[in-house]
Amino acid sequence: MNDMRRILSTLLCLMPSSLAWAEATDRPLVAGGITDKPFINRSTRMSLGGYTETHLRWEREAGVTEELTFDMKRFNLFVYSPVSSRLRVAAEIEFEEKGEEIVVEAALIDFELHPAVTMRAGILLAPLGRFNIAHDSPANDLTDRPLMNTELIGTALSEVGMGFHGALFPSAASRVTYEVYAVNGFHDGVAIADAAGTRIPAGKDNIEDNNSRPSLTGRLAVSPGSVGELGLSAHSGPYNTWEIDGLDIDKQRNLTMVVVDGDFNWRSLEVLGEYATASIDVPAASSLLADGQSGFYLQANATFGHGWLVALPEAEFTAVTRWGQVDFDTDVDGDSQNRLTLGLNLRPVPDAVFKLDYQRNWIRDRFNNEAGSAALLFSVATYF
Amino acid sequence: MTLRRCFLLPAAILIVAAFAGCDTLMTSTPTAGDDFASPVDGLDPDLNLVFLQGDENFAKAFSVAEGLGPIFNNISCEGCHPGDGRGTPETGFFRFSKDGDLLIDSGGPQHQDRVIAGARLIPENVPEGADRSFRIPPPVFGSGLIEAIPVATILALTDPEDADGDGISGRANWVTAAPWVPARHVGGGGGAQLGRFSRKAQVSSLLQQVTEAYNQDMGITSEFLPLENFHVQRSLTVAVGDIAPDPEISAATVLQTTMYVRLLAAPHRGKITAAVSRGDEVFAGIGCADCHVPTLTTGIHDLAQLSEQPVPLYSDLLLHDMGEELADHRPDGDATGSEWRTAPLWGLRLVARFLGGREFYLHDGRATTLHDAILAHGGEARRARDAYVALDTATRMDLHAFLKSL
Ligand code: HEC
Ligand code: HEC
Repeated sequence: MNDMRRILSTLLCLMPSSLAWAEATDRPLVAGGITDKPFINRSTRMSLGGYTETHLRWEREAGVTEELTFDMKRFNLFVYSPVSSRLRVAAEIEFEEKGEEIVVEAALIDFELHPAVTMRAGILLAPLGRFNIAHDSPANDLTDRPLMNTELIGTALSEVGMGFHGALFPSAASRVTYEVYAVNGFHDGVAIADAAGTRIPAGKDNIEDNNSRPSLTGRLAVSPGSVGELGLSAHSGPYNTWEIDGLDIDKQRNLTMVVVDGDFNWRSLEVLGEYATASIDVPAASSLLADGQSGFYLQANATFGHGWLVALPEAEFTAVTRWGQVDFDTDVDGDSQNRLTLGLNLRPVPDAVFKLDYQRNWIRDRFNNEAGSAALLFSVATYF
Repeated sequence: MTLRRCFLLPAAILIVAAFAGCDTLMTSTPTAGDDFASPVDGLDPDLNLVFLQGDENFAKAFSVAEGLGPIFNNISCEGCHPGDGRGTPETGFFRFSKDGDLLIDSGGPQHQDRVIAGARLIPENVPEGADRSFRIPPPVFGSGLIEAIPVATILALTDPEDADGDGISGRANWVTAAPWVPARHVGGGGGAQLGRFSRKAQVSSLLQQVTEAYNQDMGITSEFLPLENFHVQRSLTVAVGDIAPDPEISAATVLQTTMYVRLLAAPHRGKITAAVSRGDEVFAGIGCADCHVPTLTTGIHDLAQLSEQPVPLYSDLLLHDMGEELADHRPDGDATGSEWRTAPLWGLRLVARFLGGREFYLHDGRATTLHDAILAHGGEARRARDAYVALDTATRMDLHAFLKSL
């Protein structure tokens, strides 16, 4: 036993110890391997964050309970990495419904060419109205997203593309921002994927462009100062495959959406809204398909009660009203939905919110027959 | 304490209000009997389940990926029979043929005016010179009750030679059932079968009506009719069609939908006011009830709800020559170009409710008021129509009040 110990210590003494440790700290085991990534040694910090939201939903239709359920709606992770003073990477990974749907909602590279021009490439949120580019649940004052966003735009509408964005400052207080990108656009699903008819969200996720022709999307927003912002945006381009292997199989069909958005603040009042119109070139013989759709929402938020809660000095309440509409086919009287939502929120801290909403829907079929549904929703959402 | 007062209290009030004013705030169920989509009373849980599944099938809109088309008229049963009631001229379609030839090679006997996007097909055309008949969708409720009326009950009402000399004959439409309809189904099996369904009573079984609706109206193949509806472009060398493998739905699905339609109850009568009662007498007095027979009775049936039940349909389910006024000049089975099945009048009071406030009457929806529908009666119904025209305004109002109470 003693012999053994003597041999071992002799061996260890013989090792060129100083040389060995120096190598371990300066050179990675595998160059470019898992422990040898640029971000590990960079002086800037990469941040990880996100938001999460859970609902309790009670929905009734024509007097019958359709749903009384808990819904773990979203768990989204943000990654932000300032690679250098001019280069940033941002990403958002969304886990919906307990991970049933996992989507890379955004993963983009921003390279600042000039203080007013930044190049962006990757998976980006189409700048189609303000809600599509800023729709995090802790910031949305109602549990559900506006109808026009879920049914018409397909928020979160994120696409693969490249382009530019930036801000100009005409005066000390005012600001003009722009975003313009070439993206893959929509695919044939717009006209054929949803049995209900033309549905733009059914043509999302054109991961590789189906028609080798990009679409363009952009938004111009003007803000005179802290009072608010007015935006005009559009998305336009072909959505169908009209040629395969050099042979025509259809004609080129375009889809164009235009959205106007506004957000105004006055004291503790905020009024915001968006209007969207879409024109879709659909095959004429399938005349059940709509070639025109539109939608809007108008929302008012009143914040009150700051300082009322002794235990939560930052807490405040918000009373919310939103009226929303989608018209799935502008050529017929029916085929539309209207929604009124009344909400009361408590924000214990600015990043978190408890929402209680009452929602009433008026749904009209293609015969213009009205059906009603209503919902009582309670949800919790927070950034982290 | 403060927290409770400021947030929990209004929140609690909102929740309590929602539960308390449940129906006002959270929507209410339409009064029983005021719709076309309710099941007959007292089904057992097994049949409730079939009814619910069939209800879903009836509302189901088919996408291209699920097999819609390649040529079709509409995307769902509900898309033509809203609320299980009648449709509109926009949802109607043409049947065409020539002197009894169904013109299969030209895409007959039904004109599909739509093609799916992406199938590179042209919609069908009705060939030049073909006899064509435009039909709007009739209501589908009460079909099980109609099916359960014994053949003998209906035949007892026929009077082909007008033996009683009232100017009204009434004939059965004897048709051949599709070979795939099992003989145990009412109207199924070989030989001549009594037609009861559709505008000229040219269909003898509910299963055939529903299966052909899937196949012809929506382009959905089933185990009963596994081949896609013929399209003239098929004769070209191009292979065209939808991308879903046939059959697109199972026999079980078709049977569920058929059972759903079979179990649909008729709506209740509206309020019986004095005017309605007077109108009821006028209706019988001027001969309307000679064709629009107020009540027939079902025979013995496996289902208690359909067994020996009164069927207040206001029809004899027979063919009547309605004259040039309503003629389509297109024979269908035994029915001539001027014969039509007496349209059942039950549910007239709710027509507008399920058509977004509009009304359409007669086989092609040409009349938008009951008055115009009655005025269009000719042929065997001429005598009744003339009697209607001769009524003074007050009596006519009573008759209308009666019709609007059905
Ligand atoms: C394109 C429109 C359309 C669609 C889709 C459609 N129907 Fe019909 N339906 C009609 C028309 C039109 C008639 C009358 C046909 C005739 O008279 O020749 C009819 C007749 C009927 C009848 C007979 C009613 C009576 O009074 O005799 C039933 C039952 C029926 N349909 C059920 C269905 C079912 C079930 C479906 C779905 C599987 C369906 N229909 C889909 C248009 C449609
Ligand atoms: C000879 C038989 C006959 C007589 C008598 C008759 N009808 Fe009719 N009625 C029919 C037939 C057949 C139809 C269906 C015609 C069509 O579809 O074009 C019909 C259709 C109708 C309709 C339209 C129903 C619908 O759903 O579209 C109304 C309403 C009506 N009849 C009322 C009356 C009234 C009121 C009288 C008495 C003045 C009367 N009918 C007398 C045979 C008759």
